[in-house]
Amino acid sequence: MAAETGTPTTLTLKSNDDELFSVAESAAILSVTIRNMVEDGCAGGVIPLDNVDGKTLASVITYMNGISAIPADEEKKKSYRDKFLSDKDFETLADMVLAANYLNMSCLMDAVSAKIAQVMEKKSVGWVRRKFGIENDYTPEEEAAVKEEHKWTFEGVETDDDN
Amino acid sequence: MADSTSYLPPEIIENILLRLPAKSLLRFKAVSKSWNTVIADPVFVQNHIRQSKHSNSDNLFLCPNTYPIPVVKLGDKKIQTLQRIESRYARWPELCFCDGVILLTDTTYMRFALWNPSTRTSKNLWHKYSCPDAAFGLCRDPATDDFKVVIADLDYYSVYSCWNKSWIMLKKKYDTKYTGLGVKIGNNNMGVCVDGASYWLWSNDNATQIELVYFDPRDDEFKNLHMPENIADANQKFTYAVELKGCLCVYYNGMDESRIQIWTKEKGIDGHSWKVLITVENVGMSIWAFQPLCFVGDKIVVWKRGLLRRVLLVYIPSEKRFEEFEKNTVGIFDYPIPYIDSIFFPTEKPRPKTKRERKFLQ
Repeated sequence: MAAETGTPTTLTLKSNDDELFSVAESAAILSVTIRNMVEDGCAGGVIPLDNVDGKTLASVITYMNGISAIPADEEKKKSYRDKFLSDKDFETLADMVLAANYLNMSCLMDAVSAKIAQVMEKKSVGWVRRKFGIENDYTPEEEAAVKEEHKWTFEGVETDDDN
Repeated sequence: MADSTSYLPPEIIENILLRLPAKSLLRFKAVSKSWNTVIADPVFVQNHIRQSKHSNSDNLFLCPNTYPIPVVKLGDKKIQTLQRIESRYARWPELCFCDGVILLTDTTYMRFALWNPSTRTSKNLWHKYSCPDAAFGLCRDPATDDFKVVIADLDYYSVYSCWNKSWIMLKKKYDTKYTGLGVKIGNNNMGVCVDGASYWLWSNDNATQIELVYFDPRDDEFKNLHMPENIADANQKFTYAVELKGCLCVYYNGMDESRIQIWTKEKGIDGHSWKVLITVENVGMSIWAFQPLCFVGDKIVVWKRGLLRRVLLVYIPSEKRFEEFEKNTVGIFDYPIPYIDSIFFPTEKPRPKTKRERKFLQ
């Protein structure tokens, strides 16, 4: 383990589509899931992450390296997170929130959840159903009644741009 | 992902929904029955209030002197107008606020309304008689979740329970030597609602003695709270109560008028210990002009309530001095009241045995 050697330890992470990534242990242990594996001594070889694909893992590792390079300054970390997430689309964000959840990285989880909320804030009900893959289980009458009850909340909704 | 839809587990979706403003949440009740159930769940509603306070750091205010009413966010010497809210209660004075719900009156002090500006939900209430000299409070009973309006008048106090949809009127038992309920020092008739109770600083007629009193919604009783010792010793006439960082605070300026000390009470109705939050130096104004609104980082935003000129200042503790807000951003800022984006609205008592099955997404 890291404490025994003077040099920084590197871990090898494997995505579910068999891509391998090297990452400094000090950055990787931002993930509580990985930290537990390291502490339990099961991080000797390759760490398989069965719920994360290569594209998402690459992105998460970029985040791990970026955020761990910033000293303890919450403002700077926040602006790094904002910048890191600024150009991500909904699908990428959804993959990242799943990865952050699986890897148990609460700071990333909170930041991505907030970003998704920001993306969907002004969207239509139809957009949300499509993006979240949710089936409309209302009858037309029920749906009309629910919408009528909060009619004013449908003012200022953006036009759908996802198709 | 090849597929454009994502299947997120319910707990992740709930975590995302908690970060949405009330307007979006009400709209998304139409997404599906399961989303409607989640958004209407009282536990979700409370978690949403907590998240809303946390992410806005208690920095949102309504400025009801302008119409439509602006919601502003106070930053470091800057104000940002987030939205404007239409109200059917324009010109009704605000009496109290708690968890995003505001108590107003049409100035008859018989007709009252509870209003949540973020959902535009409201409810009218009639009091038995006109009570313009009373003190007003709102509480959400932490034990039962009942929401109560309390009107403390000179001889009696009335409590409206939203669960029971009825008033009870009780003979006042709080310390009778303090008769000056109608004596208003600053906004001291306006209860400060923290942790489910309402707090007031009351004084006797000559304002020679003050007392910190709170209404405990768990037993509908008024109780006294010990103040920080040196305030009690100094017997300060000019002591004010305010909520800062989610805690009850009192502030006063002792012998030296250039310093104001702000004390904060520990969390919880039953937590009675105090500690100094901050000492503001080089105050340069009377304490009755000094109204701390919120923190921005470690700086305090202070509203200076002069008779002719009201200004927003930010106090920088490390430099012990004040700076004015940028003038071009403060135009509409006047008589602020705290705002919380919340979907909470008090309802009748839920029927017993409502088994909440969270049928979320398949």
